[in-house]
This record gives sequence, C-alpha cells and structure tokens, in this order.
Amino acid sequence: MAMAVDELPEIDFSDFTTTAASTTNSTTTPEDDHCHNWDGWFPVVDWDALPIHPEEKFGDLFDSEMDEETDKTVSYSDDDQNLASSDAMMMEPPVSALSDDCKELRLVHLLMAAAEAMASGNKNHDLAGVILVRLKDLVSSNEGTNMERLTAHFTDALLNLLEGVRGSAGGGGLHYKQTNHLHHHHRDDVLAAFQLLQDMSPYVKFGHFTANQAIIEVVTHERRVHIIDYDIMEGIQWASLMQALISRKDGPPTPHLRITALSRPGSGRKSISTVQETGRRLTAFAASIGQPFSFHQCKLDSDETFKPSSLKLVRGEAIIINCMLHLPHFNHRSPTSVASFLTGSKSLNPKLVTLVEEEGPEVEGGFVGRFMDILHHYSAVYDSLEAGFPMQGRARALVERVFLGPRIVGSVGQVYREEGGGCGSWGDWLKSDPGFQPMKISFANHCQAKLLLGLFNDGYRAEEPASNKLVLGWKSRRLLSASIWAYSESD
Amino acid sequence: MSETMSFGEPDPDLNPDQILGWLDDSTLHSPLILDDLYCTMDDPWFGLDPIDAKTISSSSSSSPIVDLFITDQPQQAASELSKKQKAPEDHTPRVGKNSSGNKKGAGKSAKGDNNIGSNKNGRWAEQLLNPCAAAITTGNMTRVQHLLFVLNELASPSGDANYRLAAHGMQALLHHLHCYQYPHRPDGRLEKAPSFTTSTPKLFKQSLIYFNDINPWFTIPNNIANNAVLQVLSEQDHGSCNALHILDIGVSHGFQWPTLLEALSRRPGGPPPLVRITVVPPTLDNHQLPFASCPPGYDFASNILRFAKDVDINLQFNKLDNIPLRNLNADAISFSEDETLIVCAQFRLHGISHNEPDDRTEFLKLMRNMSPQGVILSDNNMDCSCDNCSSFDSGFARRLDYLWSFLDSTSVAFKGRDMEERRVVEGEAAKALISMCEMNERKEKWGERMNGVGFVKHAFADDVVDQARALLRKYDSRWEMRVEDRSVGLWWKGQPVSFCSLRKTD
Repeated sequence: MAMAVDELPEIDFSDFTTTAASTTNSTTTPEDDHCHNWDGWFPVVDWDALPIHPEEKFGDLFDSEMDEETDKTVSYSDDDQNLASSDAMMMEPPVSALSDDCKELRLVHLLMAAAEAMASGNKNHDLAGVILVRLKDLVSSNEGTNMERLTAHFTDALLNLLEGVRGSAGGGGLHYKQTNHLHHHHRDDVLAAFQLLQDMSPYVKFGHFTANQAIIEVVTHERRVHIIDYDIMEGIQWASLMQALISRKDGPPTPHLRITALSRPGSGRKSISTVQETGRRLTAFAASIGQPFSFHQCKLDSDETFKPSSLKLVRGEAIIINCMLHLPHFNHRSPTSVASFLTGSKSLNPKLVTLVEEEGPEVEGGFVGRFMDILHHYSAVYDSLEAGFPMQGRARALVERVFLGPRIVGSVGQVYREEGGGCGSWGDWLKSDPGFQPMKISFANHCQAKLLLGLFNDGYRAEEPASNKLVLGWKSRRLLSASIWAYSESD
Repeated sequence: MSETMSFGEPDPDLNPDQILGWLDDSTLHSPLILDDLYCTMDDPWFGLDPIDAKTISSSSSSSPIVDLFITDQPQQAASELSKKQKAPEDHTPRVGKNSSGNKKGAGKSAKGDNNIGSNKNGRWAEQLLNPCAAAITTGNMTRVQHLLFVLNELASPSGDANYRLAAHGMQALLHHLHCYQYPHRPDGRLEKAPSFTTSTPKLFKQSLIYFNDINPWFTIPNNIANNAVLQVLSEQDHGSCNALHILDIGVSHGFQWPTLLEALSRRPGGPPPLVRITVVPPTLDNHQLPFASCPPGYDFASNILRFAKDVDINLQFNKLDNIPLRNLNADAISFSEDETLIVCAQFRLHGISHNEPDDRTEFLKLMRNMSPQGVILSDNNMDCSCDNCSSFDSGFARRLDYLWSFLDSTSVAFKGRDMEERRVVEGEAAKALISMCEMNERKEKWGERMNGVGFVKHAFADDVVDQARALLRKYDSRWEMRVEDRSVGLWWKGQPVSFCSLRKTD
C-alpha cells in the first residue's frame, strides 16, 4: 500500500503553468491579462522588481495542484493533452514570476483582501463590496480551474456575509439572490451527488468504516446493541454495519441491533430522506439479511436539547453513541445542539462514543486566518476529487454545487459569527471531559482504512495522530478525523 | 464566464431629462468673452460629445450584482440638481449653440461612474492605499505586494473617484518604490501620465476652461482675487491715476484676467491709465507643482493683449521666464514707485520650501520689501506632507485626502462622464502624490508667517464675499464657503479645501 509523501518538494512558482485541467476551457478575456493597458499611461507593474517572490505566501495552495500534474501523466498517458502540458511543465524554462497564467494568484489575493475588509468592521464594507464585485467578474462556479470555481463559492460566501451585515444595518432595499439556491436543490440532484461523492472519494466511507470497526470490536460479546445516532441521514453507515455483524465468521451469535435516530422538526428539507424513510429502509434491509433489528426515533424540540430520559432503554444492552458530523449535506448544527447530545449521552453510560468531524482550522485567531484556512481546506478537497477523476468535470461540478459550495458558505458564515471566540474540535471537547477516555484504534481498523484509501487516488493518506484517532488527509492537508472514546462515570 | 461588469453604468441619481436640462443651461457663469478669446471651434463644447440620453436610460438593465449595491438615495441629489437649475439670474445662456450641440452624434462610450460596490459616500481606495504606504514605511514587503496585487485588480483610470484614486495612488506608490530601489534612475512611466505639460495647447485650454466651468476649485479663488484687486483700488486714498501692476504668481494661466480687465474698463471713472500684468511661471525644475505648468507652446500673451485692446485697456504684459521666486524683487519686475502693486499668489507659494533653509519666510520678506498695496494669498488648506513634517505614510494619507477631494468633486462636476479633459486635470492634481514640492500649511500658519514679516490681514469687502457666494451657487451644493477670521475658505463635503486672504502692509 503506497503511502503518499507527506512533505512536498519546494515548488518554484515559475515552473507552474495552469493547464486546461478544467471542466471546460477557461477563456482568457482581456481582463485576465494582467498587463492592463489603460490609455498607455498606467504601467505594467514590474513585480520582479519587488523584493519578494510573489507566491511565497500561498505556496501551499498550489502545491497539490502541481502534484496532480504528475499523477495525470502517470495515469492517463493516452491523453495527448495532458502529456503535452506535463511535458511543457517539465521542460519549459522558468518564466518570469507572473506570466499571464497568474490569475489564480490574483484570485487568492483578492479573496484574502475581501476577507480582511469584512473582518475589520463597518468602515471597510465598501471595499469588500468592490472586491467581491471584481471577483464575481473574474470567476464562475461552473467553469474554469479548481481555484476559479472555488473562488466563486468563496465569493458567494463573503457576499452572503456582506448582505447579512448590510441588511441588519438597515441599508434599505438590498436583497441578494443566491445564485446557487443553496437550500433548494432538487432531490434527485442531491441523491446523485451523494452517490457520486462516495464513488469519487473515500470521504464518506472513511468515517463510517472507522466507526463501524470500532463498534464491532467493542460489541463482540454483547447480546444487545443500542446505537443512538445523532444524525442518521440515509443510514448507509448501518447497512454496512449490519452486513459486518452478520458475516462474523466465528464467535457469538449476531446481537440484536437497535437504532434510535434523533429527528428534528423540519429537517427533511435538506436530507435525501426523512428519518422514518430511513428507518423503514433499514428495517427492510435487516430483514433481508436476517439481522435482528428495531428502529426508533427520538424527536427533538426545535431547540435541539437532547433528553436522554425520553429514550427507551433495555437492560443489558450496550449503548453506542454515534456522532457523524462530516457528511456533506449535513447542516451545520449549532454547537449547543452537539454539546447537548454529547453531554446528555453521559447519563446513558455508553460503552463507546464514535465521533467523526471535519478537521478544524489549523490556525488560531481572527477571521482572515481562519477564512484562508477554510480556503486551503476546500482547495485540497477539490484537488482530491480532480486527481481521481480529472475527466469527470460535470460530475465534480455537481458535487461541488450541491454539497461543497453550500458547505463553504456555511463554514465561512460560522467562522465569521464566531470571530474572536474559538471553536475547538469536538474531539478536544470530549478530551477535556474526564468521563470520556480515548480508546485505542485497533491495528485492524487502521489497516482497513488504508485498504479503503488504496481504492482511491495515491494522494490520500491515513494518519494516526493520537491513539484514538484516525485522520484522513489529502497530500499535506488533513480533511477528516475519526475518534473513538469510552465512557465511565467519574467519582 | 459570468456577465462582464462594465464601468458604463451611469449615475442612477440623474435621469435623462435633467441631464439635457443641464446641458441647456450650459454656460453657468462664464462670460461670453471667454468664447471670443479661446474658442477656436464653433462647437460650444469644443468637440465634446453630448450625453446621449438613450445610452443612459437603456443601460438601466443591470446585472443582479448591481442590484445588490444600489442604495436608496436617488431622490435627494436629483432634487438638488433641479433646484440649481431654477436660479435663472446668474447665468448667461449661450445663445443658439446648444440645441445643435445636444443632438449631435452618439455619446462617448460612457465609461462613467461605477456606482456598483461603492455607495455614494464610500471611500475604499484609501483603505488599500494607506495600509500599503504604512507597510512600505515598516518594510513589510509581503504586505506591500499583497496590497499592490489587490490595487492592481481594482484600479482604473476610468471608473468613479475611488477607482481613479486607486489608480493614481498605486502609481505613486510604485514610483516611490522605484525611487527607493533605483535612486538614480528616473521613472519613465511618469512621463506618460496625462498632465498639462504633456497635453497639446488646445487640449490644455479646453480642459482648463471646461473644468473651471463645472468645478469651483480655482474659479472661486480667482473670482475673489479679481474682486479683491478692485477692492484695493477703491480703497486707495489718492485717486485712480496710478498704474496698476499685478504680479501673477498663480495657476490660472491667464484665464483669470479677462474678467478683471473687463471690470476695470467698466469702472466709474474709467480704468487705470496703465495696467501691467507680470506673470511668474514656475522654473523648469519645479514642474511637479500641480497645475503650475503649461504645455510648451502655450502662450496667452497675444490673446490677452488683443482682449485688452477690445475693452480699451492699456495693458502691458510681461512673463518672467526662468526667474525663480527667490530672485524676485522690484528690479526683476521693473517696479516703479508710482505703481499700485498687487501681488496675487495663488496655489504656488506652498511649493517654496519651509524647511532649512526657510525659503518661504525669505520669499515673504522679499514681497514685503516690494511694498505692495495688497497681497492676495490663496492656497490649499491642509497640513504638510513633506518628509520633515510627517512620515511617509501619514504624509501620503494627507496627499490622498487632498486628491480625494479633487477627484470626488471633479467626478460630481463631470457627472460621471469620462473624457480626456477630465483625465488631464486629474492627472495634474495627482502630481500632488509624487511631488517633492508639496509643502502645504494651514491658513493659520500662513497667517503667522505673513504677520511675522509685516503684513496684516485685511477683511474682504462685503460685496466681494457676496459675489463669490453667488457664484458658488452655480456649482454642486456640497461646496461651501466659510468666512472665518477674515479669510474665505472653500469646503467640499465638509472638508476644507482652500483658503483665500487679503493682506496689506502694516
């Protein structure tokens, strides 16, 4: 099993050429040409004269794109276009630091400046608006390179913030039509996108498999298993768990499996199916494979306070708390909701807590830093999808439009609202509570993860930064973390 | 690609009818004499294309992004506009010429104000330029480069005032960096920027005439100065038999004087027997002072002499080329004892250094030694931005502030239309960002200096102030005149722009 190299060689930006590794040919309009020629007097900036190398700050963002060129050469050698471009990449003498293909660098600078203008309070909102208008002019969420499409979503995210700020300040008559119709995707699109995502990336399965393996290991001798699922969505995690339980070769008979899914008012809107539908499907599936099964719902109020006392418990069952926070169409649940669930679960004395979440910002501090970190994160996600499926541009565009775009808008919004306060990860939250103890990820679990990643592109890797945690990464960027915990009452 | 944003969005505050109406009342205040002097074409607009009303109304189909940022303040400015037009007594309409002008041709591609993304009061360019200057001062090159990247993306010489300020400001910062890196190599791109010296004499004239027509930046100080000359004459004890000698250290390039000559010819008791105008242009090494220089080949001597003949004034005209201000004395200007000497120093003296050595005080002493009957001083009313008085970034911020007032008021004056004339005057004003000679002082400081060498402030007569106020009403209502402590200040949107004062010897 090849493990991707963690450390990338230093990449001189001057070798980097953007190719038509995009869904459609990105047209170069006069605006793309940074050699503006405004009536002859406005000069071309002599960037070479400035003492620092232009991409110094943003090297990371382009590292993974660079490597992807190499991958393409290997995997798709019959594609002339790719060959030509990669040859060009390797043999072209270094061009001056900013050739015409420096658009992506400009986009990053503009995004950062826009984030900065949003962060410093009211007086810079005019500047933010001007920058965002310019960005809107330069990019489209449907066309262009990864960076360009990504920029379009981040621009929308910032525009969303701006509108929110201006709207609340009473700047009369403004309204912003979100071109992505963030909340109104056609159900078929969402279904298709979800399946595509699972095919193209280990993102969804990584969390599920890690959690399931831990569950199986911990319920070896249990006769009854009760899983309380924070957000069951379509329930695909449990289909594979049931299969794994049924197919245990040796050992005790299959335990009775009970799943209680939390349900919330009005949540059917965004997920593909309602909790009831999921329940019905799982029940049918269990019956078809002979897995003893029962399904329950725990209805939450609109404030999403988890009341463990409302659960039906059975003597002698092993309680598993399952908290998957990484699913792409997962609504950003408020921190209070998650906290309420995890806190409430303590009174149930669970045998195992499984937690999967997006790797949080690797930087502390203000909005701009965290915004750029989110940009790095999704840049890695986009690259990971493209690396595996460079020719399936429309599929990727669908996934981006349905899932990633709205997630970007949500993440940026969340970080903006939390500015100043930090949001550590839920793993940290659990760690700080003495009742929860980290539980070791087994060797088998780690191996399984690697096997899973082996089905996808080389760039993925699985790390074990702590004994109870597996992290899915793309190149140098951590994407997801799955951790497992035991609970015992203290005192 | 998403739809292209054009900078052609017109000012949504104005509707086509009002614009055509404004075109009808085109002359505002300028007397017909200027036409005679300086018109070389029949077209009253000197070849400018009138606004095509269709262009404006049809481009109201805006992109959704436009919707985002157009704010709800259309009505206020529009009503101000109509208020202005209903003051009939102050303008002399140009007879006949306008209607033909209006119907001519299609408008120039309206690269006018871009209201998108900047509400009417937003000043966003400085929010990039000032931090960049600060980063240069602290040596944070990463940040400098980041901000320059962003500026490069946004700046445009054809957008609204913010975009233009970004463009000029960015050029100034690059120039500064260039000078820092290559101290002995001149910055070639500066030669190409539009300015008075790089224009043809014809464009120069057109620009200045048109600009003065629509922006009171110089018109008001010139008007006050002219009337102050008349005031000084009328206040003299001994009759009107003396020759009048005006020492013109200014930036009006001759446009100021015909009005005065005409007023002199209509004086009860007739004009002075002799009127002398001595113009002191800037020396060649001082060409960076905004508005001070003119194109090579421009010479208004013959025009003004001809005009003087037409109004029966005995005019002697003299231009002191290449005489630096420090060499001015009675001899240099051929002063004779029986003359009434009035010095008119407008927007030039701030170019004299006030650091070691204090050339400025020295020059004022020189002026005092000539014993003029009156000194009219106008200049920018702002703090100095030279190396001695401020750090690079705080000085730059002041210069930007000055240029913003200019660009903003000019943008309003041109009603968002882009044209060569506008770019020329803006390019000229933008010199302030780079010029080493920009050593402004507030009017109080000037007052101290003047008092120190033996001048006393003298109040303007009421009708001088009144006439200036009446004149100011022709222009945008956000211009104000404030009379404080016997000097007249010109303010734009609540910010001081310039001051004008009259002094006599003690």
